[in-house]
Amino acid sequence: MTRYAKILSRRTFLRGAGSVAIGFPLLSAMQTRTAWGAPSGSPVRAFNLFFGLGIPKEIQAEGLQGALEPLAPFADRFAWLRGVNLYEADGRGNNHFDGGGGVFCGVEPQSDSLSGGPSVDQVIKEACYGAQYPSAMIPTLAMGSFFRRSRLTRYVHNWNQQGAPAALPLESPQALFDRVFGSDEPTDDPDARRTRHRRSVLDGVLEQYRSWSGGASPLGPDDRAKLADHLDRLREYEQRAFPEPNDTPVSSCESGTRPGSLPLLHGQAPDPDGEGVDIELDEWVDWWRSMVDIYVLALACDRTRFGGVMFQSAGERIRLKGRYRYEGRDIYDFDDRRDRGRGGSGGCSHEFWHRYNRSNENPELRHHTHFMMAQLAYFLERMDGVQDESGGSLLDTSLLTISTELGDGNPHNLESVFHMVSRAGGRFQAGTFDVDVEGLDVYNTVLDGFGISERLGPATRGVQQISGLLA
Amino acid sequence: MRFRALFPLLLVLACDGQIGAPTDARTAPGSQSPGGPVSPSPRPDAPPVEAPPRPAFEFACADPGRADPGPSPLRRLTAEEFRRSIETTLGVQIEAELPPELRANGFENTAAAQVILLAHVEALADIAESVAQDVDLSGLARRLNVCTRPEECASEMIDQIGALLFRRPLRSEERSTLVSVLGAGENAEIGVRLAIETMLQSPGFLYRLEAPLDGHGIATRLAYFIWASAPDLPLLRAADEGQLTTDAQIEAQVERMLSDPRAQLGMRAFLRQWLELDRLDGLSRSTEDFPSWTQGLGADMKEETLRLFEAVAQEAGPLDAVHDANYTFASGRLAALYGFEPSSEAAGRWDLSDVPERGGLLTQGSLLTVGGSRASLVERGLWFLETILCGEIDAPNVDVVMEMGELMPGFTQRHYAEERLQTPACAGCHIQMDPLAFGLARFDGAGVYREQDTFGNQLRWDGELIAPGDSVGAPYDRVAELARLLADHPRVRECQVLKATQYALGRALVESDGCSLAQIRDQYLAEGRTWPALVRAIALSPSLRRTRAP
Repeated sequence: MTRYAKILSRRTFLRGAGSVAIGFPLLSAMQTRTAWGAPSGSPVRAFNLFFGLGIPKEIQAEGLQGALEPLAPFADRFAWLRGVNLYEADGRGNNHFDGGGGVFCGVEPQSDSLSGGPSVDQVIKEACYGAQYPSAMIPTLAMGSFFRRSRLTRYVHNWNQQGAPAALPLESPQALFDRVFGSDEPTDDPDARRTRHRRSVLDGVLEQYRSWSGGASPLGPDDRAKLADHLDRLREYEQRAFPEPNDTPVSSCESGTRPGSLPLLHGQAPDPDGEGVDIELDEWVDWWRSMVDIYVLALACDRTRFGGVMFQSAGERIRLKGRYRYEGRDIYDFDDRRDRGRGGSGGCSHEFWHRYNRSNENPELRHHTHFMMAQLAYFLERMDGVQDESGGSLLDTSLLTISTELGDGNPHNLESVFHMVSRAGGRFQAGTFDVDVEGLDVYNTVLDGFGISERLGPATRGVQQISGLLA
Repeated sequence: MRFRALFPLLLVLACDGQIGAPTDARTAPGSQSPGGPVSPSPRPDAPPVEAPPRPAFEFACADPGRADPGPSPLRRLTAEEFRRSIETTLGVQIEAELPPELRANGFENTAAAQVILLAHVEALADIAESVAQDVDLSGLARRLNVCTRPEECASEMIDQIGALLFRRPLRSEERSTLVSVLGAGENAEIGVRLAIETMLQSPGFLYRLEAPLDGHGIATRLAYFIWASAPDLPLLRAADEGQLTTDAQIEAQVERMLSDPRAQLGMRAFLRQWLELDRLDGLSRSTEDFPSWTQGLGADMKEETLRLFEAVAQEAGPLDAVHDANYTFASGRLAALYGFEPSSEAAGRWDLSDVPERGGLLTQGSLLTVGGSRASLVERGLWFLETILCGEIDAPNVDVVMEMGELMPGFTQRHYAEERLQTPACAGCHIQMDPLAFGLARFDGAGVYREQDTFGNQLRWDGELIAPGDSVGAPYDRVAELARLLADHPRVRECQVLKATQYALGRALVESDGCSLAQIRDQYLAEGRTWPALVRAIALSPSLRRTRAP
């Protein structure tokens, strides 16, 4: 068993602990390559927030009320872009896959496991940090609560330059905690000789990856990049196995304990036979909030600056049960099996999206959407509770791109796919923008906001900046 | 798939399996008894379908003399290859596993989708340390024909062990690095063990570095294709001596490798991935719906399929026989599920001469459980199309794959399928899928044969085989007929070539592979369509023996 020293305290963020400040355990090594015009002076951070199944444009047109009510408190913190299409991602595949794999990248996935290009967060990471991104920091940290994962494009939303996953989402609070803070192994290896041996071995391994991924390697650029990715993981391992003395925790990272197991069907065979899973609302909310708390703590401790957060994968199939209350009000007594009149896949909430009819009220779809938005809102609240280096909240200074897989789930189109973009340290304007643009236009305008000239999408495609989005 | 405003309402109504479904279960239409005409063709006035069916890959070759070997992306050893490589090279069996591989493009060894996680690095460090401690250094040295006392020849040991683990002579910079690690040991033996620990985590071992592809690279390709493991010493020696150049030299090695027990493991690795057999490991069915189901049947079904392929391969008959074999391999509990009579069994092999409903892959639980407990006709047909016939169909405009029409007296899955096939907007695609699964209709979601469903409907199992590229369909009246049609169908053989070649190359096939694939197919057909013939044809192909010029 690998033995890690504690690189940070075992304690986690206590729910409801209130505002905390960013910790700087590794800050000396974490300067952004250039300021990149950051108005706030905060380091560049970017996260993709994904939720499954989409929101039909008619419901978006109603504004931040009704099904979208939980997002209303954040109206002046985001640009809400209504009318963003992902037609460029629309290929031959099922749109759950094309949309799930195309969002944040803007183009059609290459296959069931590769995107058509990098996601916007990874382009920013590469442009703003490149090789200067500190090895002590987790390169990209993704987490999610989801069950359906028959193919990567359902649940991976951070893609590297080669279109491969930049991170696979962690699915349990325990796994997330261990990834961020190390496992609960003893602090010190009692066998100094063994430690010395392992250090020598690791040095030898690192040297060979440096050689094969470096400029003098006889391999082609894609192959070198693959080995460079392995080298990054080795450096991360090195930080955990052989921490430097100054990698010490700070006060803001010292509260709470490693989460225990929670009663939820995670980490087991997902989505058996494609027929969906039964899930209790209260258990799920506890689970999700625990994940969010740890994730935001990771950001508060500056353990990563890039990543993804997901609530339900693309084409998710669940049968939700339980009373849903929001701000003291009863919203709905969920029982999808009851409402659908059957079990199996036909009893899943997914079917409310299949049967969406713009002429009808679609109450179940609305209730589910409200529930999903409330879970995203919890993440936004927690982000707002962390003060970063500039004194602003992480919610205001980070780039948060919120999106989904589909427009209207009945025809499974990629028309008017929900998109929100945070102000990212004052780079972008808040407000509602009614547009008729491609996702690529959104992402490329975001890159403009960071002063990055690289473009997503086909090289022949012209730049179509979204009017008024840049601050 | 972009939604186009073509017949939106029709699509919704026609493709969700609800057409014709009564609101009152008692108003069912006529009987579903056998014997009715099969009419899967779309109406003559059908509009052009949006997603025309097609083969996933064409065997096209304009200039056979200039076969393009295609791309050669860097491949990491899969978890299984890693484990087997350590067994082959160092003779150490490991229990710890690397994180499971991601399935992409139908296989787990697809280079482009191989990620490296922190969990890999952690596991590698632990496994490497453990293996280096456990390896029998003296025995290894004797096998490599070097002195057995590290204190006398540590450097030479590093060279020889390095060449074994890296599957080629060490490069000078690698040697320097390993020698410096050697110096970290308190004595020579510890130093050599530390160097082995380093090698097992190095790119030279974990990745198949082909810079450029030479005899050692070919040896590596052959070994991971045929054995799912590292080259052995005779194969490396052949590479050292430049004996992997001509057709005859490669054929000789292939013959030797196929006669080695590791070839069986290699074949199993391919089959597990191709036929998605690992999904059976944890397969369960509700005993409420399937009273005869017992835990572990999924694993037995997997073994049944693997053993059928092995038997066909060992008998040196055409692989086509897996579709219409009149025997199978079933555990006692699987035989009970199938309802076999004990008298027809010998050493786990069951004679099916008197069991007309069984015989061949189509009637095995491994395939029949595709489609879930509901035995979805569409899911079965789609899997069949993609996996056995290498067909490809665009996704529907409306995602209705999982939405099955309600079954009740008078309403079978066949009924809803017939409705789809009479609806122009649906028929273009469903005609390629649904009729393939008609023949399986008498097997439920656990693979149990029955002639009536739970609503008392008689179940038809006649249909029509229309493979990708076929201009006319071939009717069949029962599953045995379908199996015979498959065993004789050229598309089935081409698909075997496609799947095995993709597995051998560890990447998705691209258009430029057409020439190489055509050569493989022609040789495979000419040499009797056996498993050895298929392996030999791939081993001799330009795709395996060459790389594109930089």
